[in-house]
Amino acid sequence: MSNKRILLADDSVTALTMHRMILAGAGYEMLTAQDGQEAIELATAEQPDLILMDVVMPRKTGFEATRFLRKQEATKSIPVIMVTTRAEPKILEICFQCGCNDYINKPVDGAVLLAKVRSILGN
Amino acid sequence: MGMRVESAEERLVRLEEQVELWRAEHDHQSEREQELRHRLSAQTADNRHCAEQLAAAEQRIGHLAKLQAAVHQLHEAAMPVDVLTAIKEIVANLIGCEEMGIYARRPDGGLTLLDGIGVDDEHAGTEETAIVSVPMHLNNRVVGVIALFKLLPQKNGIEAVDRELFAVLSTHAARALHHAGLRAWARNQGVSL
Repeated sequence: MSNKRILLADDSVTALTMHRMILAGAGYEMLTAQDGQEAIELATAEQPDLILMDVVMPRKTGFEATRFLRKQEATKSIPVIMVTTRAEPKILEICFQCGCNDYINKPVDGAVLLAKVRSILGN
Repeated sequence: MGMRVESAEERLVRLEEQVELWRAEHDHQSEREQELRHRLSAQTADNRHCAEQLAAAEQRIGHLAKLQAAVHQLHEAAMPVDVLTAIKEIVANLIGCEEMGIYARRPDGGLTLLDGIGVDDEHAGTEETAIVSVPMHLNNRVVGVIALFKLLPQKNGIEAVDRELFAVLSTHAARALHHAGLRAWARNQGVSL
């Protein structure tokens, strides 16, 4: 079992519940935030190994939060997987310009999510 | 005593014996290699089978997590507005729909839009434009409909897990709304349920 910690940032409790079930079942520890500002605060304080970041969130969007994390010394190296509703190239371009490492489209497929998390954190 | 010099014939015999030994050893090693190759091949097939089973299991776990999250959210919702939010989140995040409506059935058989994503009152009652209509059952009666009008562009149609989510919504959505309505009524009456 892994001791790696993942921060889930999503304003949808339903999405958080599903992601937590899948990733906790694979042995990861979970932290959750329900808006972009909370995600920044938790990432800075807790230094997770990976962040799963929704794009559309209150207070700060996933784009804004990721840009902020990349500028901070303490959080600039934490990998971020962006969870996007739209899969158009323009949106994906913004994701990578913000500094995210990978992205996953909604509706999130559990097996794809696990594969992407493992590709960053290792098995 | 002088050392005896090996004759050419003797040397030939000795070398032929040595060659025979090497040949036997080579044959033995070839058999061993063959056996190891077979074992490796069987192990590789076994590993592939295990990987396929693991992938299928993880796929199923992902599906079950969706279903469990959906049921959990519907029944965790305290007030009717929370249930409507849970239904919208399930349809948007777990199914992948960007236009949908939740309709209540009126006594005259018409439909009244309760809530939705990307729809307004103009869509109310236009169930025929929906790509999927999920009936909401309560006590063996259809009391409303969840209509999906447009899926996310990256979504390639309705999948098996979506049908399972429709079944969850069909069975649990109206019940969760009904219970939340009872809780809201009780709260207005100053009663704790």
